[in-house]
Amino acid sequence: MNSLSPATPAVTRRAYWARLRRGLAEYRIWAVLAALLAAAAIASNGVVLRPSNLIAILFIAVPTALAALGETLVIITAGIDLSVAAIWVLSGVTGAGLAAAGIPLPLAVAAALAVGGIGGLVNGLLIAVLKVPPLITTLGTLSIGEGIARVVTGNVPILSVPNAYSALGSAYAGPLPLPVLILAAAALALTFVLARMVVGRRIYATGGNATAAHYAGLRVGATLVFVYVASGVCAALAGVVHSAYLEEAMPNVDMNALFAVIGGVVVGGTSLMGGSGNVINSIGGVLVIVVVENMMNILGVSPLLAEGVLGFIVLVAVYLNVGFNPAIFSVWLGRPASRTTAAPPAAGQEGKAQP
Amino acid sequence: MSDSATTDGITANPPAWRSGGRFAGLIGESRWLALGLAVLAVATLNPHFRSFDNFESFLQSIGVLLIAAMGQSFVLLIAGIDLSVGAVVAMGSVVLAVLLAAGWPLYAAIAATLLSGLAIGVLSGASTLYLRIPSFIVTFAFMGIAYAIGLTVADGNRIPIAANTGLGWLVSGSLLGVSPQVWLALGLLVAGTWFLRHSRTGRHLYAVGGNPEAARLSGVPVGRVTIAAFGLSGLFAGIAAVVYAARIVSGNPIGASNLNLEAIAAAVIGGVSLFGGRGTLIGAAFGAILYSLIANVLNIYNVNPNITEIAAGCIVVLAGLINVLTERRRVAA
Amino acid sequence: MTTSPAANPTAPKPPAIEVRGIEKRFVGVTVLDGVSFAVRAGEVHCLCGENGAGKSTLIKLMAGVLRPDGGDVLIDGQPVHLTSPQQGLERGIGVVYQELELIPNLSIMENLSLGREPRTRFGAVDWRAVRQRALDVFKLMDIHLAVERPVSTLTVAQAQLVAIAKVLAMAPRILVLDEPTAALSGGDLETLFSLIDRLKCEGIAIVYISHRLEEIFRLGDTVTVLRDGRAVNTAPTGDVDENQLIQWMVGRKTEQRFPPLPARTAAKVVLSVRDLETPTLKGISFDLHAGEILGCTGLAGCGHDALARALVGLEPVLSGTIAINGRPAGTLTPRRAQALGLSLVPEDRKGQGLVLGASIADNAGYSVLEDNARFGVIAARRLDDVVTRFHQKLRIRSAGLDQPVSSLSGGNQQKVVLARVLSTDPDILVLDEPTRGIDVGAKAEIYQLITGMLAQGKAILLISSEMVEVMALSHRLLVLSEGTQAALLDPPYSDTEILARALPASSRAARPAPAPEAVN
Repeated sequence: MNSLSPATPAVTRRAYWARLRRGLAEYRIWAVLAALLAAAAIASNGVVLRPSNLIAILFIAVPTALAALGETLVIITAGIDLSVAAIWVLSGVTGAGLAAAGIPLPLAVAAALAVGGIGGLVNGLLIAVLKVPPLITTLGTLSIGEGIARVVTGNVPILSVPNAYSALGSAYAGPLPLPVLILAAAALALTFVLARMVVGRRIYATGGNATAAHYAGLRVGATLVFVYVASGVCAALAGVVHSAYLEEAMPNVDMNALFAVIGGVVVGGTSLMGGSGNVINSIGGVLVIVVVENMMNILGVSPLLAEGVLGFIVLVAVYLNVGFNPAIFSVWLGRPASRTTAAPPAAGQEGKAQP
Repeated sequence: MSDSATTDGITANPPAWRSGGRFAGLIGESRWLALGLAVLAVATLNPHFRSFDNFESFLQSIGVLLIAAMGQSFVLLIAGIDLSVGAVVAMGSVVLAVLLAAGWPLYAAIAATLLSGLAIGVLSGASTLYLRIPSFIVTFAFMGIAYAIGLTVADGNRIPIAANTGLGWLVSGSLLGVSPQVWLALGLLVAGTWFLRHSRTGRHLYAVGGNPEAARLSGVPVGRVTIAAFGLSGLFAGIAAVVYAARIVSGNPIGASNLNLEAIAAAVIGGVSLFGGRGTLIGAAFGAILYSLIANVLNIYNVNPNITEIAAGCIVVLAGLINVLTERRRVAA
Repeated sequence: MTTSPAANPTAPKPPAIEVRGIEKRFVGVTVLDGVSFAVRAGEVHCLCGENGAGKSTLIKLMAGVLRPDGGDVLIDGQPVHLTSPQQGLERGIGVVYQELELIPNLSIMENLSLGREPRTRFGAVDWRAVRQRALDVFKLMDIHLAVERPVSTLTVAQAQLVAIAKVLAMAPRILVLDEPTAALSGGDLETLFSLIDRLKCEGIAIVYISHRLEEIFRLGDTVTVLRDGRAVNTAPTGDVDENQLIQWMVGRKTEQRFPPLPARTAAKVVLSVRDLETPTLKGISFDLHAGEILGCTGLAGCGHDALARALVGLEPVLSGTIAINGRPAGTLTPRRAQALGLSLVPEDRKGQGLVLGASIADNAGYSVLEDNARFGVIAARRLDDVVTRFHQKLRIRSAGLDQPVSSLSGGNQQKVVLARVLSTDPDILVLDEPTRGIDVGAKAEIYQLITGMLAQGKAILLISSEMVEVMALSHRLLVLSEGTQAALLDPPYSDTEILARALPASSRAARPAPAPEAVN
């Protein structure tokens, strides 16, 4: 293209195939998912692939996948958001509670999403302005959110919701379930944001090297606030869809859900170090986790073992994560990156420019 | 400014490190001291708090957090985090209760409990080390595993502990007029502080937390130090499990769910840096006491217990903020 | 020009340390390709080479931090296979790294004994022995610092000396020093030099890595030049001169390295700094005119990097004014400075200038994203045009705009940073060490670019610690010394005068020109 060699047809074709291969490699989680479904089908004698089962998988996966969309943005900035589990719950009780109290559906949902947005805003401001490390901040807001949910509901779950509300979680719009459409819409929107919008470029730059992004004049603080608000709204959406599907809302945080959200993002291939990743893959990652769970359920594996297997899978995914570096943990804690234990230099670094 | 790097210039004010010594960390957190005093003042105004019963029960309740906070400090010192503390305490209490119910002698059952905590800790440390995965994720996973083990062993129920096992003495007995668990905590504090100040591995914890690469290049066995830190955290969690079981006179597979947050909050309040390399067990103990004081006061005033949970979250965030501010000032100096 | 006593043993004793045919590869990139040299006891063997020649890797191989893919390391004639830094230490190899490997929150004496703390009978650390060990080494090095001080309270120069002390405390037989004088100046340099002379007399084999040729001739008995992972040549320092070394490092005769400097046009003041004070600077005042290059230089630690950062608001301004185009700049941020027409090429291109995982196109475009977007959506073709234009203009050698910048050479990486900065069409360019760590060929290209910018009426503040470079390219020269403005010189420049002005005031009084000074 712009190298100093002439662009012969052969060169262009080679470049095209190279790009194609790179593109395919980026989305390899979907190949893993396909292989997994095949294996599950064989192991369960086709039970897994029954339409009713597949639909059930979708319904279970959608809320987690929704939360994973926002979490992906946060992780791309080399951050972490643990409070999604609490926002999920808090917005669930808000939406369900308001709907049950007779508030019109659009208002109830809007209020629930606003809760997520406010929660995300609090996180974003603490992290971007007050510079409290993301791990600590969201660990704190996780507790705060759950506490608020409990106080607001008096620790009593909301056990019935109007039909209009539950439709959000279980109705069909044509051949597809409504939740899946919601997920698709959200995923498309965020994909557009990441790929084509200025803020998307800022997100990748902030995650890749926040210092350099700042030097380049990019608004790092605003970018961080954006991703945490996005994460909050996505988690709120998850909470609404989930409570609609279950037709109830409990003010208790589900740590397994948190694990599945972050695990889904990581298994999907987004690097914990930040600077790369996309939301479509996170959906793939969540699906992998849900399929594995489903498979073990069908096979009658004990819950203890199932949890162990899931944990193992996520650990392996984290380990294999391209660009993984234990130093990320120090980054989550806000520790200056130069004082961290680094992996051996990446290819091409050692021999090239050294200060 | 001195004209050469080889001498200390004679300065008008002695540099900060000359003064303070071992209390420098605490004095640095004077904000918290002030808060503590304020809380204490408010508390003593309330007749309920002043009553001896409340003071007794206060001392009873802080044992678990004290020990857990000290254990968490070891991991924080190497810039790690242990999220499995609560789960290990719950699991440990179940193990203890089940073994006692099966007729094991008290000391054997306690030893087994401690061993279970130690095992989880060592495994966490080894995983963090060899799999090169952040300790947050590893200990998060082990939290799930520990809860699962506890739930499976207890079959989902609380396991009562009979009164004749002798375990109750730990919390309700009296040794020189003070509850034995206080002596236990004190003993752990003294032993732990000696370890951190005067043993090689203890000093290496600070080294690894301060600059892991430099420590490695200097020949510090970083791997062994990491496993030691997590192992100690697990061991302390096991000890806390024993105290916990004694207090609730049973094994509770889903108990201590907030302990993670509280232990971290307590340690950070006490000046243990989240960045690693700084902090003392005395500080962590102080933090645990202060935190429990706040919780106790809120309890007396009949504040909704969920508010306490919110407060815990706020404290963690605040402590993180203060930690960051202090670190920044140090780095800038 | 070597000052070593004629004490090199020529008896058939094997060299203290020797590397033979050392090879090392990292994921397909060959970093060391058959390096061989030997160092005898009591010899100072200097290693020099351009950045990227493989010096750091070689050191790590000798220390046992890395393992060679081919070749041998021999100690006293016996091949050794070091699998850990600890093993290296046991074999008597002590390495002082460029990045000071000290634990900031521990005391000096603890750092000196780190990893080998002496124990009492009860298993506790023997603090008295720790303290004594530290005092002994300090006595040897003639340093007077309180050993209980936490390392975090030391200055960089002090920390450097402590890092050296730490290695010396282990009584190595082979001492490797990697750019030990980076943070030192004046009296401290002499302290180090006389220490090295003393160590030579005691029979310690010293490997001294430096790119400062004057040090090589002052200290070294032998010098080996590394280039592209190979040992190009080894010779006694008495047999070569600076030009010869440069030739070996570069591989071709270096003639005129700098483009001619266009005459300065009488023009308006675009940047005006008065009495600028920051935590490390005081009393900085100068004017910068359009079409002019103002050079800024000084010794390590003089504060010129702080000046660069202060001009984009990344260094707290305690007092003084910065005026851009006649108007006071107010509180600056890199973003605001950019809007006012001032852009910075930062000192650390990998840490501050580039997002390494992103592509050339991305990096080059970061500063002009909003200008090439509508309602927050990037206008891809417009942005592409801008980026392509600068890619071609700066002649960035790459396989395509999509290539991640991490795989580019230092020179091309720097060009990407320049592309990004230039795309904002700044009036004022602040270049902070623009050619650090770049090979000579790319340097020449960047010099051309810099002088080319003058024709467009831009004003340039060129900050560099390479005196030769800054002398050749500046219309006027600002010399900083320990945070203060020591001089504002007009051409013709003399490096002795610059050096004299750059040295700390106290040692300036004692020494009229570079000459050894009694320490403390």
